[in-house]
Amino acid sequence: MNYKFIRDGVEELVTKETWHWLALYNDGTSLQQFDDNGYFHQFSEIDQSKLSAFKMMSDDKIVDYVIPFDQTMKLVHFYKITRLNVYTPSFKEVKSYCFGYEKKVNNRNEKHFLVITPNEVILCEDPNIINFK
Amino acid sequence: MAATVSISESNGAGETPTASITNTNMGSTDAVNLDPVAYPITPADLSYAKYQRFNVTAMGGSSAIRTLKVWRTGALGGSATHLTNAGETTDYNQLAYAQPINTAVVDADNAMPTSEPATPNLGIATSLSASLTATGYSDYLVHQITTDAGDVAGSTSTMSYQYDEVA
Repeated sequence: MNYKFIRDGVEELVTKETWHWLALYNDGTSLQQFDDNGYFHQFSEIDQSKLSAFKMMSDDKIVDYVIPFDQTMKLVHFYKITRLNVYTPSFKEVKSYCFGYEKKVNNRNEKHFLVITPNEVILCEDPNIINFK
Repeated sequence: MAATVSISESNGAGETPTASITNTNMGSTDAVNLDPVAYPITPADLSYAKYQRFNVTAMGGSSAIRTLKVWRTGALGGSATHLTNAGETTDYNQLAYAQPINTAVVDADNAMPTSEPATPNLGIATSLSASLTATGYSDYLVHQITTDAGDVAGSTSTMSYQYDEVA
């Protein structure tokens, strides 16, 4: 299913991702990436000042991944797209869903990520430590 | 859809870009999607340099493309080397387009990584930490093969690419 996104007055269509997010706010409201009203929301639309939890969900899986948030945490989310052996019969494209937070602890910037790959979920401090081959 | 990202190659004196290339074969001519059997590299010569870029042709609802990585896998054969301007941190050399040549390209002197680099190694707007926030191109990935007189034909190695997309 395609969802609408309006950029500078121009409509773009966005296909629902295998894994998509739901932002839960501390006032009881929420924002979901692929809204029931047919619109797509960008990550930047999340109001991090009142974020209480960030959930990654899939229509095909029986588990969700939830990170509880407080206002000392900065949410980070992106896709990592890897194209292996391009232009060959063994070409493979892998999309990984990276999400987590940054937080200052004792003047140190700590990072914690969950990375959902097609095969597993990995907890790490930096998704770049996961090497695709 | 998510962002649409492909590889573009530029050729010729006046720069003719070709979108969505179908191979990155290296050979003895400046041409996109070339046939290496028709244009083999003579042992001891260099291939013509490739000038290729990540090409974002639609953002598909996303807000940024960043953290570009390129690497190769497979044996080059003999003492051939695969050189590039791509590099992590201070090794990266941003290069402007120039008509591809089969002599050494100045500042394309890093070895192409043989596994995924730990950090980005190809820039956007001269910076390894910059993002593309609209359709457009990355910096040029310049790369070429050097060979030795004792090298024989037929080695194959393949390219892999990676980028982060902020939706």
